[in-house]
Amino acid sequence: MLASALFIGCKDYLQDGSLSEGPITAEQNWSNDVYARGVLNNAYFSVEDKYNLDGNGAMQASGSDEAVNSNLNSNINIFNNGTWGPVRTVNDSYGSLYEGLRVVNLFMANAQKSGIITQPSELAATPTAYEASLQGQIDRLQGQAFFLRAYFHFELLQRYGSLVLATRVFDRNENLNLPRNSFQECVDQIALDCDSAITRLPAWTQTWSTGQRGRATQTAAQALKSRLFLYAASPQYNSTGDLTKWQKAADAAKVVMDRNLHSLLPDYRNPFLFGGNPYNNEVIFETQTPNRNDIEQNNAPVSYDGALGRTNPTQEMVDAFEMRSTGRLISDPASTYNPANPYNNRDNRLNFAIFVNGVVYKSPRTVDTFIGGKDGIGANVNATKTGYYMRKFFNDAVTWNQASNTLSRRPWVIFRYAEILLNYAEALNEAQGPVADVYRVINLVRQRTGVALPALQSTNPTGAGYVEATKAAMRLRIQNERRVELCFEGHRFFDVRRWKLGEEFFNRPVSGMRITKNAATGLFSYERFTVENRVFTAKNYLYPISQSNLNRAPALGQNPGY
Amino acid sequence: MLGWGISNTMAQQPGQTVTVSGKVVDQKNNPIAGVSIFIQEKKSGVSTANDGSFTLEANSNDLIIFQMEGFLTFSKSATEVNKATLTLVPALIEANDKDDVYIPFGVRKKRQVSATVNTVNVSELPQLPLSTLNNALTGRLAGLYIQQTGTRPGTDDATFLIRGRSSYNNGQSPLILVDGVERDFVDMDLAEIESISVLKDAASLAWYGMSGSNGVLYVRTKRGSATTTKVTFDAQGGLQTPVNLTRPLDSYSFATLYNEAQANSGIAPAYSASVLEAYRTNSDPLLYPNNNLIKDFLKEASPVQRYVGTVSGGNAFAKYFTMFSFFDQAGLYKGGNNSSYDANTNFQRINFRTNLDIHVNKTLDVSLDVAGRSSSIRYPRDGNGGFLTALYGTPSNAFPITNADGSYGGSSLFRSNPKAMLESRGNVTDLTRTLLANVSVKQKLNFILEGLSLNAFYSYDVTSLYASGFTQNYEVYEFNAANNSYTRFGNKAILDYAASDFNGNVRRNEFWGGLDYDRTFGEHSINASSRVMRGVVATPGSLLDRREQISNRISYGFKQRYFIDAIGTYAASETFMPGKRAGFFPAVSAGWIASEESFLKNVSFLDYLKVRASYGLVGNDAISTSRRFMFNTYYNRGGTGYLFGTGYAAASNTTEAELANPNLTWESTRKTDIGVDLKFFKQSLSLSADYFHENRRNLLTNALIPNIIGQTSGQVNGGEAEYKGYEASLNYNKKFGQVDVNFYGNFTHVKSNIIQLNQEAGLPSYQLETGFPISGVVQGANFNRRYLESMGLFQSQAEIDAAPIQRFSGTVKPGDIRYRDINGDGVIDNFDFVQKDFTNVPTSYYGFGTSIKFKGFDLAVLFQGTQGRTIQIASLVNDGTTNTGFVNQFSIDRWTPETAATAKYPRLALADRGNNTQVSDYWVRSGDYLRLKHTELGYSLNAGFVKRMKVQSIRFYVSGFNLFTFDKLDGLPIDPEIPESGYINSYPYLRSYSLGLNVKF
Repeated sequence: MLASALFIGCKDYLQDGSLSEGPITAEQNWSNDVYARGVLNNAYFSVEDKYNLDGNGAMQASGSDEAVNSNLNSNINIFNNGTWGPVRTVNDSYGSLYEGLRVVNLFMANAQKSGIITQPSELAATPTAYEASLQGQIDRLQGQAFFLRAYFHFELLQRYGSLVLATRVFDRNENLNLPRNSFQECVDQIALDCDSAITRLPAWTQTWSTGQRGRATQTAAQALKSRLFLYAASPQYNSTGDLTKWQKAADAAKVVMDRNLHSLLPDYRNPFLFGGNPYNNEVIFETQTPNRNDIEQNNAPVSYDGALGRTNPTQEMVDAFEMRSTGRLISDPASTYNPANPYNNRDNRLNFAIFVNGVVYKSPRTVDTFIGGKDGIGANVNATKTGYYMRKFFNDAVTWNQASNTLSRRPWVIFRYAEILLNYAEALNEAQGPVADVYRVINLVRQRTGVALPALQSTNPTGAGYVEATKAAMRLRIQNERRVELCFEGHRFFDVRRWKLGEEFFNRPVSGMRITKNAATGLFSYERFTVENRVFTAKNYLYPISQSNLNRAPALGQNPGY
Repeated sequence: MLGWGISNTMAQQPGQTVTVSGKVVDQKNNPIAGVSIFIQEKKSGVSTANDGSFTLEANSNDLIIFQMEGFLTFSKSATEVNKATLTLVPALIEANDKDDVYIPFGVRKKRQVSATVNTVNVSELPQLPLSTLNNALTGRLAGLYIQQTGTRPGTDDATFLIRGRSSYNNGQSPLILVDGVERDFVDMDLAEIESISVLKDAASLAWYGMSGSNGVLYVRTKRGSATTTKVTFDAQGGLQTPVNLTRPLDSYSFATLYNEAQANSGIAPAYSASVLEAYRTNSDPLLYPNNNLIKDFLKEASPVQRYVGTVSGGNAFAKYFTMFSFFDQAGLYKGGNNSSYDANTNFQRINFRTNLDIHVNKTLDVSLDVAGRSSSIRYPRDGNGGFLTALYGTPSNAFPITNADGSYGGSSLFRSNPKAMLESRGNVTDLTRTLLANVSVKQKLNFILEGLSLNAFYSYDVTSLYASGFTQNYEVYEFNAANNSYTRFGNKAILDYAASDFNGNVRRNEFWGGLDYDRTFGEHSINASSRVMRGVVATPGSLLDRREQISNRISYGFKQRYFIDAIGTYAASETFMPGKRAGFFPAVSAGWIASEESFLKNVSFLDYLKVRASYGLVGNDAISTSRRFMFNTYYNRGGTGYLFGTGYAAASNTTEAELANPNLTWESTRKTDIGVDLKFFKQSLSLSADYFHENRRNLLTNALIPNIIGQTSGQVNGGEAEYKGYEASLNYNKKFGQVDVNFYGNFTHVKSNIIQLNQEAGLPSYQLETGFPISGVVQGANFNRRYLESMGLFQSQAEIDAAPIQRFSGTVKPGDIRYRDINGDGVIDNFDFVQKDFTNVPTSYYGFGTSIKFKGFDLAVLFQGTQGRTIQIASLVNDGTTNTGFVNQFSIDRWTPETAATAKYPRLALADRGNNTQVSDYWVRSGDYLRLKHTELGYSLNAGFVKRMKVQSIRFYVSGFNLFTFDKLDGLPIDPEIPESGYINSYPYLRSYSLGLNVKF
């Protein structure tokens, strides 16, 4: 028929898909320098910013004994209320981390053949001939990919205890119902990828040109190794108490220290404030750094322009801060702690990290957390549940709910030098007992200029900062130091687990401070109270594999107890 | 007007007076006597003599019309009639003048059609001032289910379903064709439509290849008539009033309940006794406000109006129909005042159309249709949803609307002030302009082959959206009594005009061209059509979207008693991989008028019996792939870039698109239909019934690749589903003296069944979806299929201690919902959810009604209802936020130790609410209802009186829409069709009344 003739006559009427509105084909992508690099850049998005885990400002701190979330209906409470399980997950990140792994693996598989050209401007100082060469360039890109692959694997490892290593691009048609690799295989692979990264990357942040800072570095990979080996040596994964593992962890931390590149900033608050201290020497690796006010808006006391007061430090967290003059814990009778004036003479970091009643914020206003105060318990539905608000990461100049808001650059800091020092002190104490280097290093952290606590010492039992010269006593002080120094940074949630102390710290109520103001005298009285009960059982040392993942890949096997 | 211009030109050919003569015969060439022959518009005429001959004087422009009882009316231009022998065709049952059925690019008499096509003529529909047309069709046609989904002015939307669902994926709405092309229909005016048909089976749908699977709604617009010139004018005014409005809690009740919610969550009360007392006595409205936002900001009624004028007519050379209409629907908001703009929601629409048919010469016919509409929807800047959320979701004690100092009230938790939203926030007007045009040409090719014609059809539709309005912003102030100061929230912005570019500019073209062959050889008739179709959709920023197909159809009839049709369409879609993108879609159907066989001829009460059957294959390429050209691997460039460096510059960013699926293919649907049409008692009672079955394969289903692949994979063709059921419709017409009675009814029963879909391997058997009907119950934005089985509320701690542990909240207390331990493991968690056959698509739906005429009066009533439908009330009862403490008007019926025996809903709680917010059958209610959908009472004025005013007729009428509803909700003040209307963020359910005037000249 005529119709059919017409039809066949114009065969190309329908499009074949080689051209689309914006997307490009794989071939086009990998033959273009900028696009290929764009894939690697995209992988960095899988490095999680942990200021907001529930979409409503909850931090992982509220899933541990550090804090309570003021939104009592937040998912973060699944960690605490005994309902955590394979069909009720929180902060799972399983899919998003494997997405990051796929991107990295795609890049590794294709970058070499792609048309990447040298861009010597990526390096700050006068680059060496190798650095300026095409191979040097490709190494730098591959090095970042190796680091990210190690980091994503580690994020999975600390959650699930073991995982299916993704060291290549998986295909949709292959059998992906794979069993998990053992913990040790995972550790080895992560360490191997760190080593591969170290041989390829610039030394540290400052070695990148100013326009490229924020990319992976040798010290970032070394810091990851330090944390990895610390976890691997810890009781959760080192059931035999193998001391060589601790020594390996100490050595890994020492590598970073011996580079002599990173250091502690004098002011405890400054590492997090990139507005004034971009890519500062204390920070080793961090997420991207948006200009933001969400940290304040989510966590500031509720009377401040409708802030949400989300992260409410617990009394247990506040109690961990030592007395400033005696360098002793408040439970120590010699500490000079006065329950009627509990916030006086405390570790400076208390005021840096936590809003307690009466402190000045946005002068002349004060944070009033006493009952009936504008920020007090019950002031509104978002008001503190414990009598405290979190202050860490705050930039006091930041405003919100204004016609024109002041924002400030803040990343989520992943590795900073203080952690490395504490990793070293802990690992060395476990491996060798409280040797001199343990005191030296932990005191570096305690005696940072703005903190200036008395040094720990074992020579004068009545003096400030005394600690018994035993591994066990030192371990407790190191654990407490870690709890205080790294508070709200997402460490304690996992630290308590790797120490195998979950039942001790997480399976008990958390408390707050009910502060009453005497209307006549204006004086405050303090009463501790239980905010909520917390549930932790043996299975909670690891995250559950979500039922949906397990249903798709039964060979994964569930973690014990779930 | 365009129509006038052209028709005048055509008519202006020299009009000589001619003498027309000829002879009228029947099909057996016997002369017919007494045929009335007249010229259009002139009532006087002649009749044929005994030998069938006639003579009359006419103008050469005239159209001569031949009418005879029992024969089909026939017309021809005067110049073509002269000295001709004219054959009148006898009118058989279902082959009369009014029995035309429009099938794709063709017209048949009803008896010839063996496919399942149901038609409603718009003259049978009530004149309702509704902004969307589909609601006028509710309950009218068997196999057409219409669910109203919204009530806002201009968006009182409804979803269509033809028969049922045989795919569990999205995109299951039928194809809507207006005059043969895919076009929007809801925004048309009723006055421009002639008829609406539903095409349901393979024999009618295979023509559309890959777009016909979900059925077709075929709208045919009005055309001019060569026999009469008509001028009509309609004016309608009406009122719409809300039904089932939220009745807000007063401040005292709210605060008391809030305190209770806090107490239940172990939190000290927020409101002291003295504050409660102040709310109760309303002693200080500024410090202790007690607002009724519903009363303050919603009207009791809002007006609608509609005006339509039409002119139609024609002569031997040209026929025209032209229409103009204006519709205005006001919104319910009140309480704001801004001289620069109005933020009340509103809808206005102008429709116009001219359809022109030109008989150029004996062999060439051309039609040109041009239509357009301009509709504008206005709403507050925060959207209807935003404004209504503020109305329904702000507790009555949240803030005074206006503070003592005149500023807007507000608070840290509630920053939306409804008054400010109406007068200081600006508005938005979405103006949609649409131009529709199509031209069709038919050239007879009798010189090649008798009965052959060449046909071409081309459409050019453009639509665009222009959003404009005003922007402005406001501050709210919270008064702090302690220090006598105000705290500000929000930021003021001055009034400004806001406009967007024209966007949503979409152009659609379709071309259909090919050959038709229509011929009768004695008792054999053959109709064949073949068309090539090419379609383009051009959207800004996208490559053209193209499709093409060849549709072929051949119909054979014998003795006007046996009919057989074969359809075959070869269609291709760009959605699929080259080489795998084209398919062939064949269908066959047959019809048999059994009543004309000798063995039934003598059954006196039975006038007509037709048996039909069809079977065929139809495709659906409108599968919801998440990206275009899914068969190809792609990378996307751009998007948000990661920030590197001290300048925090966004780095180049490239992402791999969803995994490609080169094997993607269309859904293929096998449709079976068996039906009968019956007429009894001198054709006063007619009945049609169909059994149907549809099976659909290659449904998209989840790929279920383990997540370690690290990339979403899109869906794969692996599913299968079916539906089957029956439908019946009945019509009874009888005249009792001066009373004309018509009664009609239709009933459809359909059940769907999922045969195959990919499910996670580890699911317990009671969570598998196979064997269950498609669709579930909509709750808010979610779609629920699995439910916990509830066992009432826990009444005591002892009962809780003895029961299995419920793992949805940290603690379970008396007053919480108790669930059944399905898998018997002593723990109630997600493994205890059970697949249920609750569905928001009814298993049966029906409509029935009557129209009665007596002297000048006429009355029409239509009832419509559903059976086997389920709704959820969890989103209503649990509505709220942490800020409102989840206290709402339903909280009155919550569980407390005192009301334990009568409580309808679980206890209140501020926190740890997981247990009582699970999807469970506790919240399931019957969605069945029977509704008096509309009624209309009219009176036409005495003909003699109006004739003196040079008017043909005047009719006054009153009508009502959504008047009464019978449901099974046990007094729950919600609408069973749209449970959330009037709650959460939805516009209230509306009842409409109107008064109208229709004048015909």
